Amino acid sequence: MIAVLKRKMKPRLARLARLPGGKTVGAIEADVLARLDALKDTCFVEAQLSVARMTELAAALPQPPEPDDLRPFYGLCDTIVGLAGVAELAHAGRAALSLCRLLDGWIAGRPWRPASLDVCLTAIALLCRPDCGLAPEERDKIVAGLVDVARRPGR
Amino acid sequence: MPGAEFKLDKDDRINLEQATVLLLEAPKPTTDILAQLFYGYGVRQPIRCHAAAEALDRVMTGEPVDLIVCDADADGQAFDFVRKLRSGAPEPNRFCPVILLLGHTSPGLVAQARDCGANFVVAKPLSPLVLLERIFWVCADKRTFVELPGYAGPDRRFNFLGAPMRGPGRRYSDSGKGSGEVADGGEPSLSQAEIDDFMNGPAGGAE
Repeated sequence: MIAVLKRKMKPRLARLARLPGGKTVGAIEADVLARLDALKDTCFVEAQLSVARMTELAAALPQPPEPDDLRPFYGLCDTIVGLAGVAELAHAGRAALSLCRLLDGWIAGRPWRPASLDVCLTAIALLCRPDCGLAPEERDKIVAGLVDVARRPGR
Repeated sequence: MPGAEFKLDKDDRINLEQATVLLLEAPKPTTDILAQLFYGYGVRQPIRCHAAAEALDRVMTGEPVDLIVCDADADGQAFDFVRKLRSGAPEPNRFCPVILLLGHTSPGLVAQARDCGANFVVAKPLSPLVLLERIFWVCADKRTFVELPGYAGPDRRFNFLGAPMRGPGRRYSDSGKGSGEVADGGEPSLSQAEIDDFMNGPAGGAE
């Protein structure tokens, strides 16, 4: 018999959030957007650095890599995803998520395909460049291609 | 009642000036994103920690914290931090609402987030309004806090199970695996709506 303790909780936050004063959601949105806009350039540079770091890591990978060799890519992908909204790099963020999906597959034991990693990194680097000259629909096509690569790692 | 259809209105008002919010951030510029969001929400002075050990020390002091937001990318220890918070922190911090931020939202990772005792998971890139909505959800969360061997946190059960998360049906052939066409790679990332269903049920929480 497993003893289960149950407690009904009412977070203090619920009471505090309803105190008089505060801000409307509209005012919060305007304030937050102004604050994030001020971070845009920093985030953009950080995204470029993450791409450069991934490229370095990829060049140094043993063939085939062990799961522990691949795990550092997750953190860098997460960084790009996290920055994507502020740095206006939404497509690069989606491309980074495709790479995460590929990593999941390889770490789970699917056949290692260095070409798939190269394709993903090249695409992420391209989508992180402000002067890539691609229209949004072309970027969409690149991301769709990467999703396909991640879905069919054996091809 | 929080739920999938719960949306904020521009005129809704929230006051977080007196709330004590702890942010477990990744040591990168993304950290500033999180902090700036909370300054924008009206939090006067969020407590900013860059390592799980630092955050744990803070919650162990017993000084009440009203909300904890953890970036799962923060030194890889965020899940462990939440588990230790739930099992070992003094009251009331042990019951403090936790929102976990994930970049890659594979079902496996979302399940880990749920099983470590987090209240909600928010997918990155962060949308200011989505995160704010989840703070409203936390305020309205009616789930019981349960403690049992191996788990402490919000009740993970919900009444309405609904359809499976992906695919049109439960048959093997529905998954596409039988066709030989789709050799699935890793797990797909879940959308924010799928994460919410996974964590709290399609109806928005247990009753």
